[in-house]
Amino acid sequence: MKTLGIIFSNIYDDCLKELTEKRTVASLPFGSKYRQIDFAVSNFSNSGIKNVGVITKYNYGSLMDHLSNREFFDLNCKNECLNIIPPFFLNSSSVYKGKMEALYNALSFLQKGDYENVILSDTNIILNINFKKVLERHIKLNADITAVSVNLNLKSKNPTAAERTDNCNNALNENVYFYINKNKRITDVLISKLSETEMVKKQQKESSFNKNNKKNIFSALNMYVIKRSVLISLILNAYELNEISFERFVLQNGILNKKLKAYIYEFNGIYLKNDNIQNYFYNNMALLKSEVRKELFIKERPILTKVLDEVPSRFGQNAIVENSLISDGCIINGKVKNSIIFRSVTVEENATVENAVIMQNSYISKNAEIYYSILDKNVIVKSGTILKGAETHAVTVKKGEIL
Amino acid sequence: MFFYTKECIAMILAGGKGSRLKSLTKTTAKPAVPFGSKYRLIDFPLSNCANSGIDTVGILTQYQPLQLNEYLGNGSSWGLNSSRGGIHVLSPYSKAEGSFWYKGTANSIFQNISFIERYNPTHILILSGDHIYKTDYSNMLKFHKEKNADCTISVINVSKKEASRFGIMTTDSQKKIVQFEEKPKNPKSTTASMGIYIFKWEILKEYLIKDSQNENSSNDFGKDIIPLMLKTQKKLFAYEFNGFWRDVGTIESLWQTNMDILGENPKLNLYDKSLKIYSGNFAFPPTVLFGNAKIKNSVIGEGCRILGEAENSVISTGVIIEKGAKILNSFIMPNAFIGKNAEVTNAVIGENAVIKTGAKVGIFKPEIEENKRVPVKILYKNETDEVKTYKTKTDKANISKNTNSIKNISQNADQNIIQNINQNINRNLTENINTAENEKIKTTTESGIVLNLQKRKIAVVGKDETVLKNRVVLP
Repeated sequence: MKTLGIIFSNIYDDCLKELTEKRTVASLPFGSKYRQIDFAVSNFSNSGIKNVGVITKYNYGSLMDHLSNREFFDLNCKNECLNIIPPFFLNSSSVYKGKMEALYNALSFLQKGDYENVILSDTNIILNINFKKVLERHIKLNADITAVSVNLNLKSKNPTAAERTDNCNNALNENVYFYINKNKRITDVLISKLSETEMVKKQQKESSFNKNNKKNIFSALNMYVIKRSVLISLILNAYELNEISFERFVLQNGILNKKLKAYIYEFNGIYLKNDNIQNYFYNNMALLKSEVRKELFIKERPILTKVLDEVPSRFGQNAIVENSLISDGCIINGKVKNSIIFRSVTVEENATVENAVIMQNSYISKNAEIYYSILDKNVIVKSGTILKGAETHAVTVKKGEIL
Repeated sequence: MFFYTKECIAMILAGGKGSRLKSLTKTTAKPAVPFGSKYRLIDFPLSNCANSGIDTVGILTQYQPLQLNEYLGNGSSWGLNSSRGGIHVLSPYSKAEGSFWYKGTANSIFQNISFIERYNPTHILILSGDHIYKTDYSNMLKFHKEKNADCTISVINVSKKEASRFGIMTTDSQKKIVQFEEKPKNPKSTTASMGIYIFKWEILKEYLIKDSQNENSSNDFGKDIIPLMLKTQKKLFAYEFNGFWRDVGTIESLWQTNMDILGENPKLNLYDKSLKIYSGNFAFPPTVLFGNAKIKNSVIGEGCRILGEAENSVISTGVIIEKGAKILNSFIMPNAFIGKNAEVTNAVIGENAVIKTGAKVGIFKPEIEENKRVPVKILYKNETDEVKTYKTKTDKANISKNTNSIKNISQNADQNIIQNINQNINRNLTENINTAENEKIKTTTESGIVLNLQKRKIAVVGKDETVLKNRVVLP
């Protein structure tokens, strides 16, 4: 069964403002050598879905550069490959605001070829999933929509659930929750600003009043398998009605009123939601736990990324490195502890980096000290500078700044 | 089919067995041997070609080509996947006249004359698949054209001692070669051939055909073609190469060259971005250094899991070093596994090799405990590569700089073998001390044994090999 993949690269930009001013959410670096989109693209590539469209909106230069060589993602086939779908202006005077408009822009891509199903994916939820299994279920049940979700009533597979903060008040940053029946068919859709933890608490409160009302609640991971014919008619419909929200129009309205056959696919692995900067920081730190890495970096389903031909990392005579992830091309002479170090970072002698995320090409000079911080690309920290964030409020330094 | 005419194409000799690399090349070609954490030997000539604007490269393979061919792919790793040339893997094939293996370096080019003719090149660059160096060949080509040479040989100054291992030449003031001797017993100069040649293709073709008709020829560039050209008054020039260049044909040189990428100012500077070395990259997750990891003066590739210690070592991609393991002065090839509390010192560990828990590999001093007359393990590696362990007793006082012997061996042990070990230790220690003093490179270990840093032997664990117990060579 042939399947198309769609990746939204610009959704939730506002929530990670300092880091996404000059780039898309999709091209936000994550986890020592990756960008967020690598996880979405690799999920498609590893599941044998070769025709993948990346929908863009603005500031997608870094994204195009990152995806320039499709060979790196094993998506360089003849008639199916990785496509970048640039914004398309029709009658509207501005770029799209919601997913439905974005999909309308991508109609020509969606209509090409003889595909049965489309998989939609965001980039800010980091997980490693085999779409083959999701598709299998989707086809077996003859579903219109299958939503990849997690059961919130089970022990949380979100390793940073306890620490998470929810300070992004963006209209687009709403969470989608599902209630299901015995056959895993979706019976109710809830769109809420409540975070997963809050949702569970609220539900526990409710069920304590009424013991019979104990229902499992599922949280959407923003990955949906949809029959292509259904999706296209929904997109055209939404365009007529000026609907922009995928969550409200397709999920809530479509499932509840139009009786689309919608099921959930229960995902049991670890997932990381990068929905604001502090959570982004926690999630990077979560990679230092081996149980998280075990589920994200699987040998049979590797996370692919752009190859830079960097030299291997060099550790000096006085280097002290503890509990850290380190990528290629670094020169480490100072102390690095509990940190995520990206490519080509230099840490000079007597410099200290603790509990920090240091992105590509940043330079930490002698005697500088960095605690609980996120340094974007090309940041230069001058000798003697001390940068201290708190565990719950990591400092963010913008791309190219000199401290 | 249409072929673009090329000014210069390169041919890389990659068919040799590399028997001096022993178990490392048992199942793989020498150019596919890993180097410097993430590279393989062939990355160097290929990247040099890519950095020199040479986009048409023939790679002559013969011995165990599977892994090499896989690695080369379509050449995209080096940016050599051009439709106007690109890389071509050339293995021997059967012809109407019969089937022939490549008999020598020159013969392999001779058998591929038809391939070269397709590009109608003016010049041809002959390279080796096992040399480590960074260069832009266009400088050499420029020299070659300026001198209007029939052949230009890239040369390097070597020490007098080493000279007899190379092709040695004498040149006039214009750098014209007047005399050439392959591996002379009494070298007349120290100008050595690096095995990198640029020929005028028309001239080389003529000599290759001539050489193929000579039944006594060994079909080798150094032994036959160059001397013959010199004899027949062709214009041969020497192009001086300044910089780091190593032939990594032996375990020792492979090890030493890996050590040369370490340090603050490494001899081989891979961090200099002007001439980048490209390589085949695989999707490895980032390297994880755990809380107990201690890394000193080392280079580490991607996808490693390190819980142990490493000092002065090159750790390749995908290596796992378990808790309590200690790596010192060693080169660990990709995907090797070093078990808990294992110790690796002065060794080269092959690809995918497994060192089991607690095993010792490499060169160690005999263990000496504080108390007198304690049991000491002496390990002796015999010719069949099996490792036997003997328990003996020794006396700390008896091991010293001066006596260099181990006495008071337990009566239970086989006297003959013990004697053997003793002789070995004696001889090796004295040799080491002598050379060390001569070259003024000394490292005094706790027990007072002097190791020669440059001349020490390197232990090796082959590709895919498993070391269950110990593999130790006494210094």
